[in-house]
Amino acid sequence: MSTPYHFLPFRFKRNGQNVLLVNDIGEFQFLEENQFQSFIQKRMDITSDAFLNIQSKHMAVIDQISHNIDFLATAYRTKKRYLYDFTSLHMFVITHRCNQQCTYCHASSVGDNDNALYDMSIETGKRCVDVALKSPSQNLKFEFQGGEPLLNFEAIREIVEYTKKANSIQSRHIDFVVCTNLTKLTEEHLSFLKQNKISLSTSLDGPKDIHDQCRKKRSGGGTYDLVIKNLNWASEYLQKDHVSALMTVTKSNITQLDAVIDEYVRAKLPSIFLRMINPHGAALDHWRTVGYSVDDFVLAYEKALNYIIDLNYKGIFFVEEFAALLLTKILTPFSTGFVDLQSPSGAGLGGASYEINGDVFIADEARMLAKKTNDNTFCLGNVFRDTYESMFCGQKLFEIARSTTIEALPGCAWCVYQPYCGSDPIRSYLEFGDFGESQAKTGFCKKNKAIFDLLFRFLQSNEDKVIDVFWSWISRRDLSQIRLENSGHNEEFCLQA
Amino acid sequence: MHINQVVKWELNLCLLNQAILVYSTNRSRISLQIDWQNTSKDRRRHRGILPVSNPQRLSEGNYYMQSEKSEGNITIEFDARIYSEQAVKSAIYDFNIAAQISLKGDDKEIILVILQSPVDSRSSIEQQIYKSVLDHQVRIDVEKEFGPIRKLILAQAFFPCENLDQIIDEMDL
Repeated sequence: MSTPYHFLPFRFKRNGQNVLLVNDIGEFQFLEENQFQSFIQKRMDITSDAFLNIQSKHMAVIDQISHNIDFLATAYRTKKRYLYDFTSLHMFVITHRCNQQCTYCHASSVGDNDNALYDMSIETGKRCVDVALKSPSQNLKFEFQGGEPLLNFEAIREIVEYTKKANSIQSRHIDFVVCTNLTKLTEEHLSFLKQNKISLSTSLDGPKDIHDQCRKKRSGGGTYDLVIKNLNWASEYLQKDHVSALMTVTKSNITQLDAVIDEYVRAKLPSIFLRMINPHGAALDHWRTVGYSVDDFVLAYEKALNYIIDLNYKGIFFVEEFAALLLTKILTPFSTGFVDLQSPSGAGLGGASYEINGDVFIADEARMLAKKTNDNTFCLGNVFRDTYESMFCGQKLFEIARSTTIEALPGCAWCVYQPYCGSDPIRSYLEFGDFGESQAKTGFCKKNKAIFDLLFRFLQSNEDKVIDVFWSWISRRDLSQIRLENSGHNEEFCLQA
Repeated sequence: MHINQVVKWELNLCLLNQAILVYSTNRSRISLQIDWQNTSKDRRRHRGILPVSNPQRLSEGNYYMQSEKSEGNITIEFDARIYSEQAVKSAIYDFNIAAQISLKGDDKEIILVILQSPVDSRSSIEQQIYKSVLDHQVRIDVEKEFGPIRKLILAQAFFPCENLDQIIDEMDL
C-alpha cells in the first residue's frame, strides 16, 4: 500500500505536552502530542495546517522528492559554509607579560617587569604570519593576545606591517584585533591602530565594585577607573564599532548581571556576551572564589536575558551576543564563524593559537592547558619545525575533527539541537579525557542544552515583542526598524509590497 | 550492594579514572566518596578533573555519591520484536546510569537491569526509561525510512550528482 507521505530527516524532543521537531538544516516545528503521534504513524491529514507546516519545513514530502533533496542539500551546504573557510581566526600570543593579575586569568601570565624571554620575537611573529597566510580562507582575522599585548607593541607593529606586505599580492581581507586590558594604552598605540583600522577588544566585568574584585593590577588596586577612561578615549579616537568589550561571569557578578548590563549600556557598548567562566589557568586555582555550577549560570543567564529583552522594549538597542549567535543559527539559513558551535569542532579547523615560541595550538584554551600542565596533546607543531600542511592537514587535526563531528557522537547524534550546536574538544578532554566522544556529558553540553531550551520556550510562546527583539539582534537593527515604526517606513513598505 | 557494583556505577560517570575512592557501608546505605584532595594535584590538573557537572559537593575538593541500599535492581523486559537493542542502549546512555543489557528467550526479549537505583524513585525511573526507549525506537523506525535520503542529501551537498532522479527511483521509496 502506498504511503500518503514520505519522511524527510528530522530529530525530535518532547517538551511537556508538545514535541519539537528540527530538521538537519535547522528548520523547526512544534507539534501537539496527538499531532506527532498521527504524523509518525502516517495518519496525518495531508490537507491539515499541521501537515502543511511540516511539509513547508521539509520534514515530510508527498512527491517531488528530488526537488526537496536538492533544496536540503543546498541549505545544508550553506549551514556548513564555515568548513569552506577553513582556519580563518589566528591568535598570536604576543607576550606572557601582564601588568594585571586577574583572579580568573586563563592565560597564566607573568609580571610586566619580567624580561623579554616572555615576549614573542619579531622573527617568530613573522614565521607565524607565514603559516597563517597559507590558510585558504579569503577572510582572515589576526588577534593579538597576551598577557597584555600592548607591553610588546613593537611586535604588533612589525607583524601588522609584515602581514600587509605579504598580503599585497593576494589581497585577502584581513581584520586585526588587539585584545587588551586597556590600562597601558597610549596615543602612539591609538594612532597606529587607527591608521591600520585595527580593532580593540577589552574586558569589562561590570561596575567598579564588581570589576575590581577580579581584575586587579599586580601593583595592587582595581583597574575600573582606568579602563572606563581609556575605553571612552579609544571609542572617540577609533571608529565606534572598532571597540568592543567582553565580560566573564564569575561568582562575584553572577547574581548582579543586571548591574553589569547597565554598566555596558552606560559605557555605550552595543552588546554583551554573557560568557561562562572556563576552568583554565588561575580560574581553576581560584575555583572556590570565582566558580559556580552550570545550573547557577543558566538561572542567571535566563534572568539576564529577560532583563536585556526588557531594555530593548524600552527602546535601548542592546544585544546578548550568545543568544544572537544561536538565534542566527535557528532562525536563518546561515551559520556563524563561532568556533564553539561548529561540527566538526572549529578548534584547529576554524581557529588556531600561536604561542610566543611558535608552537601552534588548536585553540587558546589548548595553549593554556599546555602552559599550565605541559600537556601538549592539542599542539599541532611549531612554525620553525613544521609546515602548514603537516600541522593543518595532519593526522592529529584529522583525529580531532573525527572525534568532534557531533553528527556521529552518542547523545549528540539524536539530540534535537544538534543542527545548531558544536563541540569543545578541550572541555571534553578536561572532563573525560577524550577529544569529544563524551561531549554529551560535559558541562558545555549541559549549558548549551539549557540555553536552547530557554530560547525555544521563547520561540514557542511566539510573542510578537520577543520575536521582534530576536530579529533586531540577528539583523543588527533597532526594534523600531524591525517593526517599521519610523515615520514613512510602514507606508513605504506597503506600497512596495 | 556489592562493591563491584558501586565501581561499575561510578565508572559510568566517567569521573574516576584519576581519583581515589573511599567506600563506607552501613546496614542501609553504601557511600562512595571521591577524594580529590588525595589525588595528585598535578594529575588532577593534567586531567583537569573539574568541580563542575559533578555530583554533590561535600567540602573543598570532595564529592560523594550515595544510594539507598537496593533490595534488588530494577529489571525491565522489552519485546525484542518491537524494541531494538539500540533503542535501549541509547536510552541508557541518555540517563547516564549503569545497566546491564542481555537477551533471553531465543533473543526474543531484551532484559535491562538498572543497577542501584534509589528505591523511592524507582517507579519514576522506570517510567522515564519506558518513555525514552519508546522515543528512541521511534527515532530508529523513522530513520529507517529517511536514512537513505539523509545520505543522499549529504552526498548531494558536497558531491552533487547528475542522475538524482534515477537514484531515487532505484531507492524504491
